[in-house]
Amino acid sequence: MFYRRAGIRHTRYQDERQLFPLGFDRLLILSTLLLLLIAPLIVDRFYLAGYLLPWLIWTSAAQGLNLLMGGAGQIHLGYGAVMAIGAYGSVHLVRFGVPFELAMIAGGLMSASVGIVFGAAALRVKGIYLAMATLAMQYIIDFVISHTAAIGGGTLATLQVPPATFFGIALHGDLPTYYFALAFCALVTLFMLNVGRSSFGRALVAVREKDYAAQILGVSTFKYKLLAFWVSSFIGGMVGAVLAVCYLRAISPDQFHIELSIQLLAMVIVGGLGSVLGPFFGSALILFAPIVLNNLLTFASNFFGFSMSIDLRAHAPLMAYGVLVIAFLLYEPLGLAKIYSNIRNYLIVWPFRHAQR
Amino acid sequence: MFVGDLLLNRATMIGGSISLALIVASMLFFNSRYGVVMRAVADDQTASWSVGIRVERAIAVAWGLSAVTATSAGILWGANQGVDWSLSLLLVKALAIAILGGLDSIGGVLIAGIIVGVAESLATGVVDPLVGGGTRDIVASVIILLTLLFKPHGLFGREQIERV
Repeated sequence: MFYRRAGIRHTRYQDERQLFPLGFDRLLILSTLLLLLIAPLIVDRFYLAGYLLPWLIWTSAAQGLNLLMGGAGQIHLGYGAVMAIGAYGSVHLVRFGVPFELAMIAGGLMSASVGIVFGAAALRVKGIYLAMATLAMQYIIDFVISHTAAIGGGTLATLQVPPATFFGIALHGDLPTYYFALAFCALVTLFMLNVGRSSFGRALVAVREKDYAAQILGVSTFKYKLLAFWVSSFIGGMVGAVLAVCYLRAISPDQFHIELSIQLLAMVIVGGLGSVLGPFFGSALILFAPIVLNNLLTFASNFFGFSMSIDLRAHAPLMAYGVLVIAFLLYEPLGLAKIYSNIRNYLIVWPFRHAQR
Repeated sequence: MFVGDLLLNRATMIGGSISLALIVASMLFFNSRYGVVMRAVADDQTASWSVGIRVERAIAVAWGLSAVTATSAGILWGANQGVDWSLSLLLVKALAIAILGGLDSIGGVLIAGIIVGVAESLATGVVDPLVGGGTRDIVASVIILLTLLFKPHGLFGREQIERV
């Protein structure tokens, strides 16, 4: 119907090598991007700052984690700590007068250099042991941040983010922060799309499938495991900086606790491991499902006239959300991106099913 | 409640004997027929399936048994210390003990439990004055990390375990 692929094959090699070989995909992505670009004109500023902005930032973070978990097959339960390092590092640098463009990259580098230590654990252990090692590191980094006065600003302190500018544009108010997060998310997504078809991405896939086999084929497992941790922590640190400056504006250690790590893990798994589209769906579901369910429940209780206690109203959406996540994992373990790709595969040759390759 | 010359709190006494009974029971179970079946499943699911072990049932029983043990531990804990949401933080400590002792050794768990408990108290007494408090929460994490980095199979675990 939309794709009209039945019988059409490429006639030049460039056509096959394109990032998006199908015309309909290009149109879809372009219109989504356009819609996001004019979003400030069509949606209320409450929705812009409260829904779209966190969605973009959390999606970028989930992309970074997805490179590690879906791309290289290394489980990571301490991504929140990695983001905390980037956030604290860049905020401190901005406070010392370093321009934000540099501070962001420096924050990413700090996260990457600590993330390499997580990678060192991955060289010795794997599977559930790696999960525990990263979990332990999450707690240790939390402790170091909240107990070192020079980093966290003392016990239970909140660090105010100073005003930052990005190439002359003050990152303050709804519009600049939204467009900055959008540009950053687009950049990260573009990077992820291209990693998949580079030699680096293919080496990561080899390590994910079986590290011994990859080593025998001449892919250095040592190098690519460490590189995977380095790259994904670098992205995590940059996202931490963007999160601090654009969304939180005042950072405290408890914003980067284990809850954030598990939230990101859930986004990656529910969205779809190893898919670039997955984090977009996953973060939308994880961030907004509790809110939507809450509104639905309130509406239903008003509409059908049954009364609910405040406690039940607060907790029922969380329970429903847990059921939702479990159901997704049971019935579609490859996540929301797989559901999309099933529909797309069906429609790609739609009226002529016999033409499917 | 007096045991010989010792004055003991009744809750501590009963809790201690229940947990001792549980430990003995799990040691007996470890070498019983079904315990061996369960260890076979943990080693290699496909292989144990091919020699006629019902893998699904073994996994279900394992989850059930661990839930029973954890629940009784939770009730005993609650009788002694009271219950609130922070009980979920016990997860990291339990993980640290299990990993330090070795994931397939029950005697190791007993010794590791003592080591972790003593290390936590020592950290509170010795390290806290140096860094300004709160080290108790971090001891378990440090133990997990050190164990995995230097001796991934734990103190008493078998050498050849790659994953659980």
